Amino acid sequence: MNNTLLDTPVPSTPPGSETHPGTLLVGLDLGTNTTCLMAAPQGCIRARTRELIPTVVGYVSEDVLPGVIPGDARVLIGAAALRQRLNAAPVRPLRAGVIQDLPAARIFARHIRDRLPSGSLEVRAVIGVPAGSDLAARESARAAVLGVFDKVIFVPEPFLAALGFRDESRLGYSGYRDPVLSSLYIDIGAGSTDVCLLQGHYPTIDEQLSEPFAGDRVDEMILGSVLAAYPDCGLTLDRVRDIKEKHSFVLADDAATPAVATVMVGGKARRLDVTAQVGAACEALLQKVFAMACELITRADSRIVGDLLRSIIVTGGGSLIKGFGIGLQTKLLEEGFENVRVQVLGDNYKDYVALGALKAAGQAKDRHWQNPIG
Amino acid sequence: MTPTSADTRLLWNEIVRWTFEACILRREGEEAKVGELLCGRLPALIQTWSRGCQQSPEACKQQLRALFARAQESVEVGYIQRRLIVEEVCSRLGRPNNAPGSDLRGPAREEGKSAPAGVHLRRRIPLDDVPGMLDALAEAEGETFAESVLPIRSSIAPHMADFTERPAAQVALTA
Repeated sequence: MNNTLLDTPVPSTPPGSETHPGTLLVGLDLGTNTTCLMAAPQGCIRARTRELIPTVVGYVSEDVLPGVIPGDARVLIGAAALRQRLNAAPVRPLRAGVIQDLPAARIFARHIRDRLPSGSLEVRAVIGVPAGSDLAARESARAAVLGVFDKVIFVPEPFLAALGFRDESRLGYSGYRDPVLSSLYIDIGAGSTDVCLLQGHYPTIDEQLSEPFAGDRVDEMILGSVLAAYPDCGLTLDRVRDIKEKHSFVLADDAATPAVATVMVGGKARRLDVTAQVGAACEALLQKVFAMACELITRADSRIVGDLLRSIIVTGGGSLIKGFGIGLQTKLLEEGFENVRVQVLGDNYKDYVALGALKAAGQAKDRHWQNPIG
Repeated sequence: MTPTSADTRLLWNEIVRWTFEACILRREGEEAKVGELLCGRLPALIQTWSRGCQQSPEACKQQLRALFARAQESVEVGYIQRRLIVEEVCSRLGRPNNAPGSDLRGPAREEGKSAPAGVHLRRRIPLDDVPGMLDALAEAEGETFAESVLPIRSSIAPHMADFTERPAAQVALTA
């Protein structure tokens, strides 16, 4: 992963800010699949802690014999839960970035707190929330961190990504192009695809689009079409995710490798060619992203649209589909946009959100912090 | 064709409704929509109403001025009442006291079907201004919360009812 982000200075405690010795600041991207955590003592200019944790809680089955699970734990979290998925029913506390299982979310949040350096008098966290999260979703997030963090602020993820993506220490350099002055940000997560215009300010509502069509929908499409072709294959969504991670593609001519799924039917391995199904679902996602990008480009300030087209940034798990960046670039060029350049950041998006959250935490004033009381 | 008295009553009630709506939209910063009402819908309604209301032009103007003044006042009072209620609720919940501001986005959004439904900024805040962004977000969240507690159009409805004309039979019964 991107260790250079740990070296990125975190602007904090600007003139007039309140400082509280012994306070630990946390930047948190609570993701549907993976959570990214960064932390630094208040006043420190660099993140001291950075962790990526699979957002999973596993409840160990009653019939698991002693000694099978390390420490005979009854609840496993993160990578440990994934490793023991046969013995511990895995639960994902979030769906589409929103908490759907509060007890699991609280266990997970407590685990995050345990990963932080001890000895702080107070822990304050800025937490990224999906751009479209409503009040109920925010209240659920508040409930999940009740008793875990002393104070919290919830900020839409696109804002934090913009903050995190900008390297303030290089703003004065002639060779540094400030990416937030004119960029189109596309985040393809598990539950939603979010697209926003960055034009030197935090995106307003007219500069953001969000559609509930992302990685999870692609998985469902693949599963549905594979089951239609091979009704008795016993394919599951988890298996589809594995297949997608290995074989997803757009632009079939030059990026596809045959997607062959090995499934067990009646105890026998069976190899299925699911290339067409995977390709069709990924193409549908590309088409959706293309349409969203076109809509926002037309809303951009005409004075900067040329720069913006040269700085289209695709992030999130969906951006890891083979050929996605080139595919999007090709479609935009075919649509008539000139000098388009699509840059794929991959999964580092989580780091940018968490880093942006840590930067925001460093500059927040006392009036911004909320007590997550019940 | 001259409107009948029933028509003029309906027309007047439409004028009242859209005048209040314009005041709310202005308070929410929806200037484009305010412009549409003030330059399009309302002048047409007023013209038709004034032709059939059997009042002198001066009396019509006076009636309209009174409506505009009262509508603005009622909307301001409605927002103040709502802010006080929300402040009380927020203090009990331990949330920051996020008083609604004029640069905020309320929860209702008629167009832009795929725009996110969450808490959003209305005005542009430079990326360097993190405290400003956090202030605006807190205010926007407060506004969204306030609207969920007490929708502004509901709280202003009784004021609007004072200005609408009812059928003669209904007025007699009420009297």
